[in-house]
Amino acid sequence: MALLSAQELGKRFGARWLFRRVEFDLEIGDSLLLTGANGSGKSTLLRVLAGLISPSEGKVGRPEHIGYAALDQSLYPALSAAEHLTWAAEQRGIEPNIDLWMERTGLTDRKQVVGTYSTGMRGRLKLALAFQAAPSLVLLDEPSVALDEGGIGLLTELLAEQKGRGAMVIATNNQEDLRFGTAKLELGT
Amino acid sequence: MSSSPSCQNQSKADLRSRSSLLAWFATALTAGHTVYAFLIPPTVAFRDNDLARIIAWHLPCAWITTILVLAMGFFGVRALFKPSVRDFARLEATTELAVLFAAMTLLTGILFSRVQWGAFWQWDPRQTSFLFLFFLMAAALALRAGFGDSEKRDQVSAAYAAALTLPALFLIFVFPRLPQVQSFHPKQAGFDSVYWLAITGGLVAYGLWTQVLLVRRIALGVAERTPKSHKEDENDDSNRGNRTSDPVVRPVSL
Amino acid sequence: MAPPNSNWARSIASALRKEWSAEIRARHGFFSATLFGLLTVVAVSLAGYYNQPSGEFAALLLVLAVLFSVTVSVPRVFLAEDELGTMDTLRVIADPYAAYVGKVLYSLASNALQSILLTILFIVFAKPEISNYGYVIAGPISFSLAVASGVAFCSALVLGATNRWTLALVVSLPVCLPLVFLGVAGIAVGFGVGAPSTGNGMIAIQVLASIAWLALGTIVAGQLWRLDRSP
Repeated sequence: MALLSAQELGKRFGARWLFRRVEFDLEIGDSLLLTGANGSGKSTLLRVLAGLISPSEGKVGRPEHIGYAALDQSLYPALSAAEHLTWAAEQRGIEPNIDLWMERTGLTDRKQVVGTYSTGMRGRLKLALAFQAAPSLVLLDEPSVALDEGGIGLLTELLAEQKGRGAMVIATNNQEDLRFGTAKLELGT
Repeated sequence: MSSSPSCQNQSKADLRSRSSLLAWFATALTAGHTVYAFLIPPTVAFRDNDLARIIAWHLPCAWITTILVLAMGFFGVRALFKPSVRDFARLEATTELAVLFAAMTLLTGILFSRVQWGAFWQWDPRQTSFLFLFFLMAAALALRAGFGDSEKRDQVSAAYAAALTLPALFLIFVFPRLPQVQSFHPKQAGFDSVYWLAITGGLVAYGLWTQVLLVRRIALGVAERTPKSHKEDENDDSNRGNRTSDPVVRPVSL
Repeated sequence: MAPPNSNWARSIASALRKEWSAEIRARHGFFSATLFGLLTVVAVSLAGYYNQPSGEFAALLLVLAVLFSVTVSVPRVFLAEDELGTMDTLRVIADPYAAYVGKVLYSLASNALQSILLTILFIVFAKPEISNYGYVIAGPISFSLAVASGVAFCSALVLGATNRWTLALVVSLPVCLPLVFLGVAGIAVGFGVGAPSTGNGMIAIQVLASIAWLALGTIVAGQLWRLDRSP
């Protein structure tokens, strides 16, 4: 049974098809890289796979709960990292493990609100929120952008854990990220 | 199991010919209704008995609007919880026609108000409730126009239509009957059978038009929402990729 | 759908807490909305500059002030998700039904409070003749609850749309207009027009309308906010 399956997937805006007839199945241990030029539809395909937007044709099969982190995704500027993690854990019905995640992400100031975070710090918190519930499927859009050495280390660590637990899809154009994938799907060719 | 292209073409042709036949019938009936409504003797229940014949258009429009509003709610609920291209198209068609018929009801009602009650607008509860109903449905069109993504547009429209049922039922059936409001509309209209025939004839004629327009608009809506086959798209410049050689996009192992 | 081991009440409480924390730390939004409501009261109270408004007219003015205040303050609670770009985070993480209820409950509480403030200010400015303070207070509160839950649903629909602020108002007002008649009839009793039984009935209907909108909105908006599942 595939963790994530895409059948004849297509998305159009008006008369223009962004992508069409995308097909794949992902199982435990699979890591799919979505690549392609700017505007080729990587982020849109990722959003379709996450269920944030509906496909114009085709079907997506995925687990009910997923981890998702994207470059254009925002966090609540008035809340702290600890409050984000607590809220997410309460919504998902899991233990928040705040101390563990604060330590792993290096976001040690519990009172600092996200509005005062740098882009890289927000990137780390997004990763923590995506992986906090140990989901069987994780979808990441340009995860390494704006991350420093420590952030890349955290990402590498989380992706290695995910490989043993489930599947992942990473939309990226960063050559460094190619090492995370077991397969590549190029859009816009 | 989908039918073959030749069978689909045949059924489309059948649908077109049935729809054309119905349109001709509706045209004839509308002409007959119009002539009949002008020829019947004036009723005696109104201030201007001769001009009261506008009721022969006003009431059928109001009834058809009510049916279309209820249909909107029905298709909205269905499309929201069990999405299908056909139900989205049905919802779009019923919404557009409901706005049209509500506007016609308001217009004929305003004229009736002027000749019978002395002013174009009286804040009569039924007049008011139809104005609100018109705005409710016009808002549905505005909502549709707010979304560029067609799938999102359909989902939001379905959600709105599903919820619209609550205020619509209140406006149509409860509000005009509240003890606090007083209506100019007669509790029991003194129409004779000749007049009722004109009203019923209008209902059938405009009901047929509604059916004709619905069938055609739904067919168009389904066509708009159904992606062209990949073969049909080969000459479409807006497409991406070279699908003639390998139309399916699959990952490659690293 | 809520995760299997989560508790719905806990999810709602958590959603409400998130709304409260976000609002209390970014107070300018709440204060702007309240200020708009107060300005509306002052504007409609100008009607009493020349003459003391009659009972029904005073009730209508107060209802309009509450209506405009609610139609500005409630969409803000929802559209803030769009403006901040946090809607994806909310949909991926939260139970959509609980998230919606959390936002509506916050809106109901803040608007009930706002309606009390507006009523006090209206009494000071417009100087209507009051025969029963109970209806003058309970009327606007019940009206604001009914309107706020309807506007909340409409605001949840327009997330992601172009011109979403205008659209929120355009979609909300037709939903709320029928309630104006109930609101006026309920409040007018406090200004000496109508029997107490009418006032009680109108207030009860508005509270029921609020509950109905909350239930309907939760089912419909929750369905819309949940992650798409292809058939």
